[in-house]
Amino acid sequence: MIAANSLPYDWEDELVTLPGVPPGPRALVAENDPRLRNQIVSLLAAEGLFVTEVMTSKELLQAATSSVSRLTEPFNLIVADLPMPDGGGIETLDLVRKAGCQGPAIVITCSIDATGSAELVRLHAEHLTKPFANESLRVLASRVRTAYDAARDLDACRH
Amino acid sequence: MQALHPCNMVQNATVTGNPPNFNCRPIVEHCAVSLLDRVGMVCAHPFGIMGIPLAGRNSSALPMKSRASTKILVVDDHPAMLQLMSDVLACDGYNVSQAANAFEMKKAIQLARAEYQSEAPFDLVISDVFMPGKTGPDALSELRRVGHRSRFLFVSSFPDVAAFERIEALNAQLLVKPFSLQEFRDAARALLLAPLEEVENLS
Repeated sequence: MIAANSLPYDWEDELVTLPGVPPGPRALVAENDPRLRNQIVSLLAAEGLFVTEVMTSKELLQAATSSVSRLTEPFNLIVADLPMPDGGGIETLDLVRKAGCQGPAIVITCSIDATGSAELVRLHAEHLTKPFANESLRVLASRVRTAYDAARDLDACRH
Repeated sequence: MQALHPCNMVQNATVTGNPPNFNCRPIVEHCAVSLLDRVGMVCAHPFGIMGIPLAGRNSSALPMKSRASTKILVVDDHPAMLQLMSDVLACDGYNVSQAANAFEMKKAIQLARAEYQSEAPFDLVISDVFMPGKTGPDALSELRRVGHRSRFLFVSSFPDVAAFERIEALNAQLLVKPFSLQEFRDAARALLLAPLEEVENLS
């Protein structure tokens, strides 16, 4: 009789995942100020999200499009500080939406005019004005986490 | 028959590529015992188990106090290997954290970065190369792109040429399995003694 723990390492025990897809909801954070980015990223990570960070609007677009084109599931949450110093404004989010990222999005702004907020409504994005309370971001992150878990449970029921 | 000193036994125990599925106990003395168990040696000596100099008497380059404040993150997807590496470093007196894959590693670093308000929250990150979902070097290059700074030591059993080149381009160190525990300790200590600017690629 061989004890279970004396058997050799079983390769089938390994976590099977698609390349590049973490086992949980993913968030994309675009923010050029390192301190604020740290704050947002740690807040989302503490809520159980796997965060990709970018520093420019170009990288934001790149990350969002590659997440769709590689047949991996798109980001569950996008947090972007717009406009960015490299020139990308709210039209960046428009491009991200056109690329196929339809999940919840939050735009962090210093100030916003009527045209801008109308545009954000059209793009199904919420906006936070700086300075914002951590709590509002945390509530949204936990809501994303809950929605992800519910969808996964439903998926597990079907199979 | 000549009795081997247990200290030498621990140092000569070799870490193989694929660890068997044994339960590694995280307590200091149990670390040594389970290692000796694995190589099939009976651990009995006149000073009792506490007599084993796990920290290594010749490895006193870093004083114990600074070791306790030295933070190391160990990343491996094999639970036994992860526990073994963490135990060895914890025995040496370092402050050790664990992560089970590259995604968890990124998350741990992001959280620690905010907690310590530092671009280099961990003094050393020891990571496996090939892990499910994302490789260690991929995670490192993503972190470097957003300004993360840390010493990196990669551990791998079968590094291919691409992995070698990747790690070299990232200016990180690679330790190839199988290695002895003393080699592992020495690599970690040598990296920790080097200044951060020298180790990482600042360009």
